[in-house]
Amino acid sequence: MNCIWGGVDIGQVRPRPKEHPLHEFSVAQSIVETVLKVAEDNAASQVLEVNIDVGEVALVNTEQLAWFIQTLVQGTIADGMKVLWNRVPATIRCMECGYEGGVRYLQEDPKWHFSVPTFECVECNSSQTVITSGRELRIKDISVRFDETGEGEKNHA
Amino acid sequence: MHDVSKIPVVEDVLEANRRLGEENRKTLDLHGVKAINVMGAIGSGKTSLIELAIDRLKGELRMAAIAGDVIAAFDSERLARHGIPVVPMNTGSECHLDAHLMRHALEQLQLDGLDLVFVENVGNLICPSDFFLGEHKRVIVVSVSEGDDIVAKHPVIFKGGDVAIVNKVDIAQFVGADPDKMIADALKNIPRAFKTSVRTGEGIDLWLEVVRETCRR
Repeated sequence: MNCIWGGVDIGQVRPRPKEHPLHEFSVAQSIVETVLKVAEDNAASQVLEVNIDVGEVALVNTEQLAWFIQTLVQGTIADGMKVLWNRVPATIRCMECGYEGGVRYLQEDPKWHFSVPTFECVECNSSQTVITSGRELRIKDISVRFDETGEGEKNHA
Repeated sequence: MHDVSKIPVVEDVLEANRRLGEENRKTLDLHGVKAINVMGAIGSGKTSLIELAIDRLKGELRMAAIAGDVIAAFDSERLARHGIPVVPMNTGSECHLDAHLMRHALEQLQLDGLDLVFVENVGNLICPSDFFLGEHKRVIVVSVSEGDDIVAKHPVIFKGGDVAIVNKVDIAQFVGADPDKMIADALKNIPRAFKTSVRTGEGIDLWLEVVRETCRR
């Protein structure tokens, strides 16, 4: 049904799907789905750990994310799985002088919880830089256990 | 004996959103419609700036808006009063719009009859920056009342943007903020930044020019 606001038909009001209630939660859900799919495709019987590359300036809270992941895998073959983070440092490329490498940080202020990266060129101070790494959130690999009955047995079910 | 081994996955979690964002962009381009993603802090004046642009550019451009918020009805009602189609996108407790929600919003608009869609993102300087929606321009709005260190504290969202607007400069002296510092901080990470006041009209022509220029490209 369409809704009318201020005399204007503004179309259907579509609520946010219930399965995505929070940023970190929907990200965790996507990680868990991928992990379970890869494990099942490889006929693993248990997932022991997941290695995730997380960029230094990716805007996720890893502690909260790990907690959501561990909650979501309960009762699956990944129950009790360890979540390991590999921090990927931020790097930039300067479009003016060609510098490629790490970034500088603002002097840490006690009011802030972490030191804030600046993306100006380390060599020439230009603001014409692009971020080349540090924004990723990438599942690198998973460690799995196969049953002693042999790989592939689980596929028969 | 149990056999343990590592299986490579190499899948970026945010990649799915980026792909969907590219699809949205194709849909917009197919219909010759531009989209401006207006992001910024809570209460920075995103809705007011969009309202002003709608009123001033009504004769030149055919516009619509997608209003994203935890409860989108408030902003969408404000925007719809200006006589344009508005799609409210309730995000619930979610802190940003993503490409999937944007897709659904676009489905509800008659794109062939439009030149421009304003996308008002959820008031937040963190989460929206990771989620490309398919927009042609990213505008980040902050106001002096958030404190003049707000820009320096959120470099990532500015780094991904095209234009920064420091709004409510008419009250800067009353809240003890230095808008020039905010502009200087923004320019470290974004190609363009200027001051505005919806109350006095300062800088509004620059904002309207950003909107016009997006549609000319």
